[in-house]
Parts: sequence; C-alpha cells; structure tokens
Amino acid sequence: MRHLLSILTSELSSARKFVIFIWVFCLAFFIGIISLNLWIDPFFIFRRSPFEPRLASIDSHQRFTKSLQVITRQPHTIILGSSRVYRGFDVKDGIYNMGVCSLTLTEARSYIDHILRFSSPRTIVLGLDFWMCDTTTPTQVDWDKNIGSFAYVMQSFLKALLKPEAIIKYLIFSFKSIINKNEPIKKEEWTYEGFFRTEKRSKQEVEQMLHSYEKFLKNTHIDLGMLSLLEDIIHKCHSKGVKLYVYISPLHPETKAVYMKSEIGLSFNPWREKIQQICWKNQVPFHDFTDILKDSPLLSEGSIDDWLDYSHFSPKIGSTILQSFGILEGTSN
Amino acid sequence: MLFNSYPFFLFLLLVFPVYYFLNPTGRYIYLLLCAALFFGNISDFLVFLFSIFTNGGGAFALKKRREREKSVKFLFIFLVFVNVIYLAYFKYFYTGLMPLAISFYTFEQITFLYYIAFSEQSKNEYFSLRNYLLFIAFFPRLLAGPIYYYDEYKDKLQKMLSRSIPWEDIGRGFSIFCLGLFKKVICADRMALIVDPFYANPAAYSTLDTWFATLAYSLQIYFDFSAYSEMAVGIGMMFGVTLPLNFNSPYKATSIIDFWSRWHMTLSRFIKDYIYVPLGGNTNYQARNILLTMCLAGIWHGSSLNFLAWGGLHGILIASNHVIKRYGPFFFMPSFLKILGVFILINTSWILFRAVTLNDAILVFHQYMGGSSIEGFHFGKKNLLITFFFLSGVFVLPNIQDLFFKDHYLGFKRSLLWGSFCLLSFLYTYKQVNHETSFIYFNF
Repeated sequence: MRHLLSILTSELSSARKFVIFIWVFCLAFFIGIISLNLWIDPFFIFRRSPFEPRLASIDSHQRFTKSLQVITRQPHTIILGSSRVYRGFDVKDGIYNMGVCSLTLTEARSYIDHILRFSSPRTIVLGLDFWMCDTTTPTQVDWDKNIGSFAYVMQSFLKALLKPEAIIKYLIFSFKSIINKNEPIKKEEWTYEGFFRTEKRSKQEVEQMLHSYEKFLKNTHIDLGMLSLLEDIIHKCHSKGVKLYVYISPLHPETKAVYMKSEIGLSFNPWREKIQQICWKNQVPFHDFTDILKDSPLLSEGSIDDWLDYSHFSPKIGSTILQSFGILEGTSN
Repeated sequence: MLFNSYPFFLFLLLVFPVYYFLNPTGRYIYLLLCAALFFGNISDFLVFLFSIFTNGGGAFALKKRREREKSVKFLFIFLVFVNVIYLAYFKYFYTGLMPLAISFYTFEQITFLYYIAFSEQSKNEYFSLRNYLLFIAFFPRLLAGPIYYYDEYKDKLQKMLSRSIPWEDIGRGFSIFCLGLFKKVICADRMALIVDPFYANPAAYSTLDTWFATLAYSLQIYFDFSAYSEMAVGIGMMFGVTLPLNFNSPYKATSIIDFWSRWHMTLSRFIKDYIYVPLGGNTNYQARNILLTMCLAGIWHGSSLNFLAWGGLHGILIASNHVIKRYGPFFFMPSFLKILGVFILINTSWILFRAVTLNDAILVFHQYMGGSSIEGFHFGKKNLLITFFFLSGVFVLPNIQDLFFKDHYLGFKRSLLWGSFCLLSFLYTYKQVNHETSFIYFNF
C-alpha cells in the first residue's frame, strides 16, 4: 500500500510523460463516447431505425433533437406544433413531424428560420394552440436562443456526438432490466418521422391532466399582439416559396369547458378570429378545428376513442386534418 | 463557445496539439481563427471587428502624431470617448442581446491606446498591427478577462508564438483548467439551483431562507467568476502565456480594501489606473474619488439603480476603511473576527448586485433583516449540507495561487496522483456539462 502511494505521489521523470498520460486518456475517452453515440444514437439523429427505442433520449431533449432530425431527414413536408402534433400525426414518406412539447409562437418563428435555412421543405403545416400566445412563457427552459444559426447547428451536432447520454442511459437500462425482469415494457416510442406512438392513458391520468390544465391556465396571460409573429412566419415562408398551411388544434369539449371557465377564456374566440383574418389576408390555407367533433362525419361526437386524453387527439384525427389540406390521400375540403 | 461545453473540450483536445507543432506564423493565424470561432455568432464578431478597426486606426493616428511631435491628448480623449460611447450604447441602449465580451475588450483597447499615446517606450517603437491583433484577440481571456495591459503582455505574447511550450506548463495549465471547470460546473451551478428560484419570487421565502440564499449567491458568484478566470489562466498557460490571476481568496480578506485587492484583481487595477488615479487618487478629495470610482464601477455592471447603490455602498465602505486605517485602530480585533465581519458586509452587499431591480433588493433586504412573515426553511437539508461544505472549502482549502504558484504542501506535482485527480474531476464534471450554463460575468 505504501509502495503504491509512493508511486502515485512521486513526480514522473518528465513533464512530457505527465501530459501524454492525460492527453491519451482524454483522447480514448472521447473516442469511446463518440463511438457509442454513433452506434447507439440516443437522439435518433443518424440511424434509420432506433438501436433500442427504450434507450432514446428524445423526451427530455425534444427541441434539440428535432432541430437536428429535421436536417438529417430533409423532408418535403413538415408539421410544426406542440405535443398535440407529435402525438397526433403518424406520418410517413417524406413528411416529418416536428411537434415539440409546449411549443410557443416565439419558438415556432425561430424554428421556421431554422427549417428554411437547413432543410428544404415544399410544405409546412403549422398547428396553433391557444397558449402559444402566452406572454409569461415566450420560450421554454430547454430552448436555445441561437437556433437557426450555423453555429447552433455545428455545436448541436457536436453535442449529439459528445453527450454522455448514451452510456448513462444504457447502463441504467441494463441495470433496471436485471432488477425488474418481469416489468411490463411500455410500447411508447418515437418513430423515424418524429411521431410519438402514445399508449392509451388511464382514466386517472386523463383526469389529472385536466386539473393541471386548470392550474396552468391561471398563470397564463394571452396577448393577441403576439400573433404578429404568425404574420412574420407567413412572410418568411412566402419569401422562400414554401407553401404554408395553418390550423387551430381540435379541442376536446372537456378542455374547451376548462378554457371557457378560466379568465383567459374571453380571449379565446377573438384569438381564433384574428388568426382567421391573418390567414385570409395573406391567402394562407386555414382550418379551425376547434369544434372538429361537431363538424367531422368521420368522428363520433363526444367519443373519447378518438382522443388519447382530453388534450391530445389520436392519429385518426391527425389524418383527418392532413386530409382536409389535401396533404394525405382522402377527402379534401 | 463556452469553456464548460462539449465542443470546447473537443476543441481543446484536437486544436491544441496542432498549435504545438505550428511555426510562429502558423500559430499567429491559428490563434486569430480561434478567436473568431470563439464568438460563436457573426453579429458579436462584427461588433468586435468594428472595435478593432476603430482602435487600430486610432492607434495608428496617435502614433503618427507623436512622430510629428504633435499633441495627442485630445485625440486620445476622443478615442476613449468613442470607446465609452460604443460600450454604453450596447450596454444600456441596444435592445437586443449585449455583444459578448464587449466590456472586456473595450477596457483592453483603452490600455492599448494609453500606451501608444503616452508611454515613453512606445515613442520609439514601431507600431505593430500583428502585436495589437494578437493582444486583443488572444482567445482564452477574450470573453470575460482577466484584463491585461498591452505594455506588459505584448512581448510575452510574441515570445509565446516562437518558443517551444514547456511540457510542465501544459500539464500545469490543464490541471488549473480542470479545477476551474469543477468549480463552475459542480459548485457554482449547484448554488444557482438555490439562488435562482429565490430571486424569481423572494416574497415566498422566510428570513432564514433569505440568509441562506444570500450566502449561496456569495458562493455562486465567487465560484462562477473565479472558475472562468482560472480556466482562462489554465488555457493561456497551455498555449504558453501566464495570464494575470484574478482572485486570491477574496472571502479571507480582513478589510474591505483588502477584499478589493483580492476580488477581480485585474478589473480593480484597471479601475484604479484609469478612473481613480485620473480623478485625483489619494491626493485630493480621496473619499469623493473613491465614491465616484465605485459608483462608476457599479454602473458598469448594469444600468439599474441597484448596481449604482451597490457601487455607492462599496465606495462608502472603502472610504470608511481608509478613515479607520488612518485614525484607528480603535481596538484590537482578532483576524478571524475581521474576516467574519468583512464577509458579512460583502455577503449583504451582494443582495443589491443580484436583485433584478432596486425594489426587489429592498424587499430582500427587508426579509434579510427579519421582516418576512413566512416561517421555516424551504431549501432542504441536502442544500444546507452542500452549501456549508462549499463554504468551509472556501475558507479552509488552498487557492489556485497556493496550489500552482507557491510551494504549498498540497501543491501541483506532475505525479500520477495529480493526473488522476484532474482526470477524475474532469470526468465527474463531464456529465454535468450537459446542462450548459453561461457565466455570470458574460452579462457585464
């Protein structure tokens, strides 16, 4: 022991050896991390099919991941919106689902910049939700203000290669699978096209969601002035020759009732009207799906079957939306 | 590019060895490219280029006038004025984000102009654009200091290009970098988890919480800024230049004057040389000069009233300290009591520095003095334990100067133990870097 300590504490004969020891260690470490990240691809950026869907680290890095996926996928059509988008549009064949959790209008504008600069879509579909105009949260915590810049893309690709996410996730996963061998495996997963296959929620989960919605709306302040960002988005798309479609997300009657009960409910209809005006003025195809349950012959009124919960609609409704714009084969209104 | 980011780690690992084997011209171009890369975005870089263009041209004009034996005083004042207006515009009137590093390179440009305009040495010297560019764009200290002076570093920077970097310096520099990184990622960012929620809504916390959050901020700002400076010094050393140190255990200061000779030392020196001394220094109206200097230092940190109040408070404290020094000491006080007293004063004054507005600062101060109607402690035992662990580290552990520049018994040795310690601290911080956070002083 004393011998070991003396080896550890005694000075190396040359400083060169010391530096080479450190450099070689660091180099080996980085090569290891990069190789694992390329092999496992925890953000599902480089691979065609996921290494292991349960190892994907997309949930907590949605903004980061999707900003890179949209570059590696190079889709012809992009659907941009909130979690209603990434849970509601099971798309394929060159269509990319760029829904991210609680997307705001400020973020959407920067995302459009990013898409127009680094991807070359012909069509963009923008799904709007009421709270996107909340002035108290112009951007979410994991938002990077440099998105849309070349430096952001370069740094983000580097981060995707250097984050230790893959190894940590893999270790945790392996450890968990050893301990809980009989634990049922969740079938929720991200697809290559950015869709998140969601399992049906339990009644309790659905009820809880409604309560959290009520709480959330209490701290929300809607400013219709923020819709100038939508005009900005429209102009950016027009200037690049990209076809833009805009829709207001379908609203489950239960959620609509929560909106209307809250203070901000008063702004809801003016908000819808203003979006309609902006779209008509700029000749942008627009649909207001707020009351889709009443309007659509495809869907049975009040049925929860077409909904994952009171906020998120099922891919069946998602398909209806795309059909209404003529993007998917089917009836076009 | 942040020091605490994955791209920078890769940059250091791959870029540095290339630099080592380049010839002087190659190294020069390489360093300029690194500076451009460091800004990360084109708009900040353009602001930097404009400053270089203006000051480079100004310096050339100053040099020409001196050669023709003409007065340079007015031209120098004009150029300083242009620099101050440039800085003030981006700091106080520009609606977008303040360009990165603008304060620090503006200060350094002023020291450069002063050297060209008034130094005896520069009178007979050829104006070297190469030296100037290298001085202003040396990337390790570019974003937040340490602030260095042109006359002291131009030769060192030139030598750096041509000499073979000692392996000892590379190892030592990397070790300093690792310790700085650890301080930022593990200590400063951990303290931010206490401070940020508190200052987001201070009214929701008790007096005990206020004391605790104030203490946590004292630690956060020290760890954060000293970490940046140390990382800069470490990288500078790896590239062959020992940059000036910025901190020397400031919380171990036994008086306010002592504190300012240990805290952000290069800025304190700049303020002293370029504001305090021109105002009259110690000769006439010393108290007024101190107060004015510190108020200006306060305003430099931000345009809101709380920064002015912070500067003013420190001005009063320093002036009072001078009075006590001149007419005191009234009674004997053991060192540890002096350290404690100064720490409490500094700790309290950080409230003005951290609060977003003066009203927020008044509210926090009111709670700090026992005015909160809320009771209990809301930060949990874990935070309490970690904070006191860090606090004791600040007072007990040796600082970077002791470890790397003095003959301390724990000091740096090129042993396997030191190497393993650095690598382990690097690996431990590696995962945390995932949540990349900016440095507090990038805002100034």
